[in-house]
Amino acid sequence: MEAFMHEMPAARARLEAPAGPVRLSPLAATLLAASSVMLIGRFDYVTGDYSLAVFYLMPVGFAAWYAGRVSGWFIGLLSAVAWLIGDLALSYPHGHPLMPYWNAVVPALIYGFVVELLCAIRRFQNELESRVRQRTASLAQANVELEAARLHFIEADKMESIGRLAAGVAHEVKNPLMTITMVADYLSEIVPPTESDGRAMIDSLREAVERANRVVSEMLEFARPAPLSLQPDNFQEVAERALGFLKHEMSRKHLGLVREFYPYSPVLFLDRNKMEQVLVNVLLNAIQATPGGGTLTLRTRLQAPDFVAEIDDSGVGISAEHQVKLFEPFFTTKPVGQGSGLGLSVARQIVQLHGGTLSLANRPEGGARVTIRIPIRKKKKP
Amino acid sequence: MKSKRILVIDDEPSITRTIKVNLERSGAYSVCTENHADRAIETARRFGPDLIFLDVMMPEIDGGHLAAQIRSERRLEKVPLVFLTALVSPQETTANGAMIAGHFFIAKPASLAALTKCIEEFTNGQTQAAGGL
Repeated sequence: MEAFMHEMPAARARLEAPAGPVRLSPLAATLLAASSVMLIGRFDYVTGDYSLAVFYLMPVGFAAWYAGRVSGWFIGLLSAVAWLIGDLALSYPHGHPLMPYWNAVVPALIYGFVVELLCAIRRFQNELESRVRQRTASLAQANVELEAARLHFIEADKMESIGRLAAGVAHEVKNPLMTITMVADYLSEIVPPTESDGRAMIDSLREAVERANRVVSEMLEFARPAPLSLQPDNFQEVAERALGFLKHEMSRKHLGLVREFYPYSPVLFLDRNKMEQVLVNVLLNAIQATPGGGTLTLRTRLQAPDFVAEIDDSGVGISAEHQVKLFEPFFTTKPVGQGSGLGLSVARQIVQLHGGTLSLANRPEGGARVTIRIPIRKKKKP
Repeated sequence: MKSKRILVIDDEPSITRTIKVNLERSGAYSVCTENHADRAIETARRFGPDLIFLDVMMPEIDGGHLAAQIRSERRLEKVPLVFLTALVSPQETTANGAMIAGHFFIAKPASLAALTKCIEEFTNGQTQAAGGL
């Protein structure tokens, strides 16, 4: 019987498709129906033909619904045979000798019709369910796309506002900075080198200008990122240069650095200056988040199709409240005057322009991890 | 030695004044300043500069438009023109400026050293030939 069931593709399909609240395997349904046919046939024989052909409709319909057309036909024919055997066994003297056969053929045809009808209804039901599933899936997909488009428009609107703001702020702040720079240059000409207080004042003036200029420039950079100049490059070399810029910051806080570079460094298409800026921004955040004496880890690995760089710090990690705001422009947890809140946003924007991603999450062992993924050997036009 | 004639066009008087004082202190430059963009062409014709520093965002006429007007003047068409602007970030330029879309830009705030270097390069004809100004 099992071999027979394997030959019934329609029945096997039922194994894979859910059949409503009752789930029976085609084989179980067929065996159950066959047993019912035997019972009805036995009842038919014992009661002396008091049963009716219509009694067999239940197992036939059951087999057709739960096990498919082949099984339905099989049970239908079995019912007709049971009916015939009962008729022959009782062997009434009256009537034509072929009458029992004729009496069996007619219900067999009726059972076949019922099987075909039920199978057609079942197919129709399956098709409807499939269409509903497809529509639900496409509706869910449309919702996702709609939400993405909504976020995109919000982002574009925000960027446009930031762009206008940045241009205005740049003009209003950098012009006075230009004047201050010229004054500092003038003072440095007239204040003699022996005047240490005067020279210190001039240096402070220049530092203040530089700081204000950096904040405004970051804002401009974020609002209107310059196109990338992608060249085949070695990430490890870029990382070493970025670390070189920050070595004083690290030694000031007595931070240890662990380098876990992947031995084979693939050729990546990078804008070297921009990627340096990404690493400096991310590493500076990590340095500021790590208490004195802590450790930073810079790790690289390959995870096809991406090259992955991870920067771990041993700080306190990111609170759930801050997690959602990390990449919002101008969001910062640093004290006033120590950060513009654009470092991570700019870094992520640059990585995205490289066709990659930048994410930040807490590590289970404590501290935070920034993960940068860059596609390998894929030149993305800026 | 004849001093080089520099015209500075910027609507901020504090900028033009401090640039003028700093450049003229060296004795190598004679500086004329103009704070009204709509009077800049007339001033340039009268002064006959060797190089023009030009702001981009100005209330009467923007720097790009003014540059086109200067270029259309026969006497001024070959005068090197350098934009001084707050709208480029240092990432887009080097400390000594950058050529962007055929124009030379210096990002504000610029140091006296950057301005002096720029003047010397342009008035010696090096960058002018390279940059097509």
